[in-house]
Amino acid sequence: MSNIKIKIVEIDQDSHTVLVKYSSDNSKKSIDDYPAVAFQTTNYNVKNLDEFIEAIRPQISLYVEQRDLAESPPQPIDISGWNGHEVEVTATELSRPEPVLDNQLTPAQKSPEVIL
Amino acid sequence: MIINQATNTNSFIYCNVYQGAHETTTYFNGGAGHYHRSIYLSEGSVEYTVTESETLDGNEIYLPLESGTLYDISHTKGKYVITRTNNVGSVMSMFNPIPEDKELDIKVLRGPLTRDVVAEDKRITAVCLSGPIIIKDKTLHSLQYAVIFPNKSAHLNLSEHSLCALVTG
Repeated sequence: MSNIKIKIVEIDQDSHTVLVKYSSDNSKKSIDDYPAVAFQTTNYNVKNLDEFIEAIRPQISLYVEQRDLAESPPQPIDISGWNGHEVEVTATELSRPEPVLDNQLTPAQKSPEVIL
Repeated sequence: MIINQATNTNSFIYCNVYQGAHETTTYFNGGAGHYHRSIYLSEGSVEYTVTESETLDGNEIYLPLESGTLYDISHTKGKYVITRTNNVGSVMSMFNPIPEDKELDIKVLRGPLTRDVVAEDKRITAVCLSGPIIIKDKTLHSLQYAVIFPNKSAHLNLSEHSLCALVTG
């Protein structure tokens, strides 16, 4: 898990907007060379700067990961020796949707028609 | 768009959907069970345009649909209907006749109201769009329906803010 840098570069108190720049250890340029994105603090249930940073951290993490990936796309690897390779592995457990319980259904889902 | 429920009454299908704010959807309005003959907006507002092609050129004119109104959209049959919302979403109910050329007479009643409903030669289906409502001493919750068969009647009791569609045919 790499670190990300978050830098507030402008605020607008009237619209409660904060302009933020971000980068990671894998970013190709310095944080100041990237465009900023705007966040409106009123969209988040936060009381101070720390809570605001924590609130936008998931979004920034996604942005920076996608930008880093676009800047440094994965290089093709050498697969020339793969043909004929055979291996036995444990199957991955796939998540299954939880069954809908009877008490989670609305009356209309349980019984759409009411007989008069 | 979220489809909350689609129910086949053996005469028509009614479905209830929610289209969120700033959302655009495209629907081909045709096919048995899929053709929306009428649409009722319970809440919010939406605007729509009708095109022959799924591809838009940006010059389409959008017409508003307001809440609390039942719209006959039979003129959109066999065409693409694009609905889009602005700052508010919309809760809509659609009525799809089976077969698609079947004539349906639809009235939407808003509570508070009490009334005797008499089915003459055609059955009347009461669809509770927003409930609960009481019909013939039975409670219908939201999106449940009840059929009043020909030559039968039923007493309808709608509480305040409840909505009931009476569909004849």
